[in-house]
Parts: sequence; C-alpha cells; structure tokens
Amino acid sequence: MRLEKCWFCSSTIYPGHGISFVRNDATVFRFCRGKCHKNFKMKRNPRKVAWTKAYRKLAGKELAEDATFEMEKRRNRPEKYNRDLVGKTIKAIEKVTDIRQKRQDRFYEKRMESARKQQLRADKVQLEKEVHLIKAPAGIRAEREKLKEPVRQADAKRDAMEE
Amino acid sequence: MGGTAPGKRKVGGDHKHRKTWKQQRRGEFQTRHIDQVWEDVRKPPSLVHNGKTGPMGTTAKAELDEDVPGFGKHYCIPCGKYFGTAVALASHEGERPHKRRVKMLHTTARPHNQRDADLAGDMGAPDNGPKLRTGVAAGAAEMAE
Repeated sequence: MRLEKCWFCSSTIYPGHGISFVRNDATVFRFCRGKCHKNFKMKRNPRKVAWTKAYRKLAGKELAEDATFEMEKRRNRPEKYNRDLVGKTIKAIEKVTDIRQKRQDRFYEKRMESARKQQLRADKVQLEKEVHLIKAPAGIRAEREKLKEPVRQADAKRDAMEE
Repeated sequence: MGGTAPGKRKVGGDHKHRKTWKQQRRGEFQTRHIDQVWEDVRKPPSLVHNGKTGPMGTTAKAELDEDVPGFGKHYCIPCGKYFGTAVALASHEGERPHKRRVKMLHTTARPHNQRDADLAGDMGAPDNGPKLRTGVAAGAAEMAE
C-alpha cells in the first residue's frame, strides 16, 4: 500500500479513492477525485489553477522550501521489514509533521501580518461610512453633540483664562 | 470513423458534431499531451515523425495509417495535427495559431508532471537508497574508482 500524491492538486490519495489514468507511453496519472480528473481532461495547467498546491507554492502563498520536506521521500525499492525501524519511522513522522505544520503556520502568519493592519483600517472606514445601518442618523448626531460638550466647556475655560 | 447509424453520412459530419463513446475515448487516448509535445519539439524532427508513421504515444504504428488524415504523412509536430496534403501542412505552418504555439512551446518551462506534484505536496526528491552494485562490470567500476 502506498499513499500517492494527486497529479493535479498534490493532495494525498488514500486507498480506495480516485482514478488512475495510464497513457500510451505508460506514464500513470493519479487523481484524488473527479474534480482533478475533469480538470486534467480539460487540459488545464495546475500551475495556473488557484486551488492547487503547485499554484500556491509558485505564487508564494505557502512554504515552498524547508528541511522538513526532505523527510518525506519516495523510494521505489522495497525496504526489508524491521520492527525497530517501523517504530522509529512512525515516531519520526509524527514529529516531522508537527514541526512542518508549525512552520507552515508561521509562514501564513507572517504573510497575513500586513493584511491584518489593512483590515483594521478598512473596518474603521466602513464604520464611519455605514454606521447609519446600525443607528439612526438623528441618534448619531445627538451622541456627537454630547461628546462635544466637555470639549466646548474646556475651550470656553481656556478662552476665559487667556482673557 | 466507426459508429455511424445506417443511412447517416460518414463524410462531412453531423451538424451537431456528435461523437460516439468509442470515438470520444479514442480521441482522449490518442491526443498527444502538452508534456509529450514539449519534448517532441526539442528532439530532432526525424525522431518524432519520419513522414511515414505518426508519434501517437509509443505504440508502434503501421506505415500509412488509415485512421489518420493523409495516412499520417503530413504531421505538424508542435500542434500535434495531421494534414491531408503537404500543401495543407505548409499553409498551416504560416498561420498565427501555429506560430503562437511554437513560441509558447519554446519559451515556457517544462510542463507539470508527477515529480512537480510530489514536490508541491511537501515531498522531497525521490531517494532509492544506495546503488546496488552487483556483477563484474560493477566490480570493475568500483576498482576503477
């Protein structure tokens, strides 16, 4: 049993899922689901289809180069069964997946940093513009008048003192 | 073309351009994919098409293939199309879609393949372990090293 990667979207294909297409020249194309298969038949280029891993790596949306990626490799030669090796491998897989996930999350956070600030600014602008959807204009005006009262009083005092 | 109904014209085609399931599947299996064409364009043309048989995958094709326009003699490598006559092929090569395709094939990077898909899926380069050296030739090579 082997877990393959989908030719189109690079997701893992578990046993019992997807379709394999074998071409005249004996190259095998494995697809995880009908969506990927149909896109392939349409002759779409995965590098240009936004939801595929190939696109995301090329566009810099995801962590593309990392040492953890070197931990998962394809080997076309069978390994002789060794109980210790199996145990160690399973533990290693868990640890490596954990580290990889953390690194990918960190990459995402960094990428979205400036986006958060932009979002906050956009939210403020929206609030200014569209607060009438939440409160009636008369009510807003009344609130603003109330807020200006202490400022007006402070100004009046200052003017009095200056005089 | 197989699969026509009795009384239907074989030449000219149905105006709704219907294909039978068999025709559709044959079409799917026999078109040359972009990654094959990308390699074809970079090989010497005689290796791809020698004026007798077509490159249709790697299945050995008989000379003068009846199923293909012009018996497979006139083939445009970048476009993967057969033409009925040499004149037809020549006039095709002067056309814009052909020129665009040639330019595209020569300027774009190698098309997506399984190796790219694996790398994008967070795998490393394939590792088949240390090379197994057996036999006299290998032993001689080791000695030379």
